Amino acid sequence: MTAVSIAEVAALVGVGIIAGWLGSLVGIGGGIVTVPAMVILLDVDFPVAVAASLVAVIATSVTTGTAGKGLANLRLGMTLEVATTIGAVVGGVTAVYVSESVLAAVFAGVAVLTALYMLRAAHRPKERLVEEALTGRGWEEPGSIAGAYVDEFRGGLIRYRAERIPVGLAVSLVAGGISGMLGVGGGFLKIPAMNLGMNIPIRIASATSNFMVGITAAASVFVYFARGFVQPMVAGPLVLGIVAGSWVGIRTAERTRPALVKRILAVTLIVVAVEMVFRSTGMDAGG
Amino acid sequence: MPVAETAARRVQAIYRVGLALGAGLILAGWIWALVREQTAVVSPRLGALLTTGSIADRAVGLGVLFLAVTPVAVVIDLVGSWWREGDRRFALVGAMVIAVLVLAVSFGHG
Repeated sequence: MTAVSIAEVAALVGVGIIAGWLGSLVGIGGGIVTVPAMVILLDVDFPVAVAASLVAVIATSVTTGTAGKGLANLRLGMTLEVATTIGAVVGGVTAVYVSESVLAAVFAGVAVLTALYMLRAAHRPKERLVEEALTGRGWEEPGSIAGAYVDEFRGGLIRYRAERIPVGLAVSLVAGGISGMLGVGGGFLKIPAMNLGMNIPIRIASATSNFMVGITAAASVFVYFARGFVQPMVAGPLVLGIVAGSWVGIRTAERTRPALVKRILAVTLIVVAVEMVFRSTGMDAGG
Repeated sequence: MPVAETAARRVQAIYRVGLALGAGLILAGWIWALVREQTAVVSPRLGALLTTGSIADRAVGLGVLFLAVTPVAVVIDLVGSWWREGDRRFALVGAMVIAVLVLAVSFGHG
């Protein structure tokens, strides 16, 4: 891309709006939507799309952070970030040396995993979704990874304490590597790791993941800056769309059906995965 | 107000300032680019962000940079907050994250 046309600007803003809306509604960073949209629909080079997507992931995290309900456990997030940022830098550096066909194949696998995570989340009982949508404030215990939050649905104070921290660190390292390499947030790995592996309540895990993805993406975006893959004129419209989409998503969350959105997104991601596999094999055949 | 709640509110304030500056500069740069028809794509290195391309490129690039450093500013603020609170263990954990981010920024300078 040597110059951005008005049509391409409109398309980038549109992709950003959809990704931002989905990000604030179903808790994904947006990269899983923006990267394939840019590569497949707008023919943007893979590393440029990843770099723009990382900026978009930061924008999603920052926008969601402005409307935070205080549920994120910052000590938990910071502890896991030690591993995640290392993974992100390594992933960003490694991505330059990996062929686009391999990256497309890995992306296809990540898209399928995210689709499965979305389908699992969509099967939660309706009461659970209502419960998760309710507002609440969290507290952290200084000096440890523990805390509590008010569960308005159950009408009580829920206490929690992190267990098996090495499991969380190991998964975070992998999630960071995938984020740096593919421009995705990695929440589909971190949230289940915190919830199932570390016994952190899903609401706390989700909010903490949102806090984390911005820091992770910031770590790898500087590596992409060094390689000249951050093109402000491509990332800019995407960011504006993300901010607008997140804003709309936060304000319309009560009127939408998250389970339906998650199922539609899961099907879309399967289609994206198939397309990425075709691209991957096509590139191999061509190369 | 509890110390932890004050820290959470300050983090939220940093996010708001970063978003306003970042998105504001990107929007201003893009309006300038469309008015002046300066939509050529450049790929600036971090150290040359303010010297590469047109005024629009520089404004959008600076906006992207503001967004990128916002989470870094949050980490720095939390480290200071935990240190003042006497929570040295997590201040140290945060310092380790800052060290990795500094390493990443040094990569950004090429």
